[in-house]
Amino acid sequence: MSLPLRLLHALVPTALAVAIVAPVLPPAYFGPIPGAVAKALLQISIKQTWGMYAPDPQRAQTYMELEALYDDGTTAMLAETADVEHGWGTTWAWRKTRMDIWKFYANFHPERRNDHRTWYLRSVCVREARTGHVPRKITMHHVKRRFTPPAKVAAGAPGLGAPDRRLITVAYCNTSPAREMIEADRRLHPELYPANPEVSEDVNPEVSPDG
Amino acid sequence: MGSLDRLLGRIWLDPEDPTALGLVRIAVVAVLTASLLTHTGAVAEYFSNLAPLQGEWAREAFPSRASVFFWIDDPWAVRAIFAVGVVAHVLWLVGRFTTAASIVAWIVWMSMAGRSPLLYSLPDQLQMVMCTLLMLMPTGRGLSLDARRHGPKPVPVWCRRILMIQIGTLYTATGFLKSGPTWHRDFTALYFTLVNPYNRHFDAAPFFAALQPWVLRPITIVVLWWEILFAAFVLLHALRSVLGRPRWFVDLRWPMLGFGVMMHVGIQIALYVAWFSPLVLSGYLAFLTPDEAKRLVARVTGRIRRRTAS
Repeated sequence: MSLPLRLLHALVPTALAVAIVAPVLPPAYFGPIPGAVAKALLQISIKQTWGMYAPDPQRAQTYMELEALYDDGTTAMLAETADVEHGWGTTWAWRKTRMDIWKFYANFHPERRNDHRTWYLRSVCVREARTGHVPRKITMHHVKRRFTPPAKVAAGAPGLGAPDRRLITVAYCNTSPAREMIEADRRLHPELYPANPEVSEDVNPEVSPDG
Repeated sequence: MGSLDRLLGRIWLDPEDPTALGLVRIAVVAVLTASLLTHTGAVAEYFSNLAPLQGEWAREAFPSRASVFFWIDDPWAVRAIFAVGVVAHVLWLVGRFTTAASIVAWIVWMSMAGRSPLLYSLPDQLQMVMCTLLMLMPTGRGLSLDARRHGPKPVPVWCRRILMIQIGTLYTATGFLKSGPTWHRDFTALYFTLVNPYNRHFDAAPFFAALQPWVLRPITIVVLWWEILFAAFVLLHALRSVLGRPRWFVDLRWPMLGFGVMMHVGIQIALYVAWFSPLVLSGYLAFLTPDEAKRLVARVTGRIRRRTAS
């Protein structure tokens, strides 16, 4: 093989090495290059951000608690709330589903906007609509328990702190785009919806959200 | 010119026996296949229009991602594509039609991760990365049905080197990102990791608290520095290989990788971390030389033959 051809061949591993290393380089020294490479790789779902247990491991665990309010004034706690009741013991692979990971992302940044949370709650609107009862609104609380530092546990304190519950956000199922998502889902999968005329009233576009 | 050519060869292009790369393929694709199969039963609910987030809204939610499932979202079509993906993984694993199988397998992974990225956590990232890297390598040239049919062909040394760079980057990047007080001041990072109810296997905070001063604290420090120094180890290992493995150049693989094996086995026992530990340990096979890989394969196949004979 001639040298130019070998140089061309060498470009393949060189490009791969750049794609592996560049996204983790500090932008303070390398400017926009790490971000640009990371953005390009994200198109094909490759992420080179390896922040496992960084900058610190979690020192508290948070679960979401979802409460639905219906048009008739009744309320119900949704399935997610089971984590708040049962999520403080141990975990094994067979008890996890991939939806747990989405819930984990949806809990990020309680103080500010989180698109993952917004889309999660819209999805919950669709999921609940399939039961025949569309919530008017869904209230999300976070229930957080801190992990007690080892010195205190060694002195006899419990491993987990007391639950701290606080309001995070309210999502409305009869506003756009949740309403359109439900309508499209019902058109696409009528078999998933109970034949109940009350249901269609729940997604009436003229119903205005409260609050 | 001649010296540049020689350097290029030593670093990237020299040919080597394909056994080590074939071994990496078998181990990594076995993990990918197992991970893929855990989606069975929920494929349509995750990736088709049966998902609560579907159609134009799914595309709006994840605009930066590519996925076949953004455009083909009928539940049975999605299940069929997934089934093709499973077949592709099996073919890739045994090394039959390896190149085509690896491309199909990669398209299926990219489509799943692109369609519903929030179903994949940080440990899952490594699946997509390893799948992509191996898809771009001639992994079917050794330990494969293709090689048995057409005869083994050499592979360029860059294949294993790239996998080493990936593993080195992963560890050192995470080591530098671990800048908080639990790693640098209190040395309680391992303790807090082990007591997290989101992924702990054992509810044993008092036991871990008792271990903290004498066991977990020193291990926390060692883990941090082992991670930070891993890229330096990869560089030294590459330099040793380029120099032809001289006797005076100490082989650091056994202490560095031995510690890594113990750490990942410990993590796997103590915590739920999806497929991260088996996947990263499969990647360690890239550090075996072709001769070492051949000896390992000969030992394993010899043992299997003896067992089946008796």
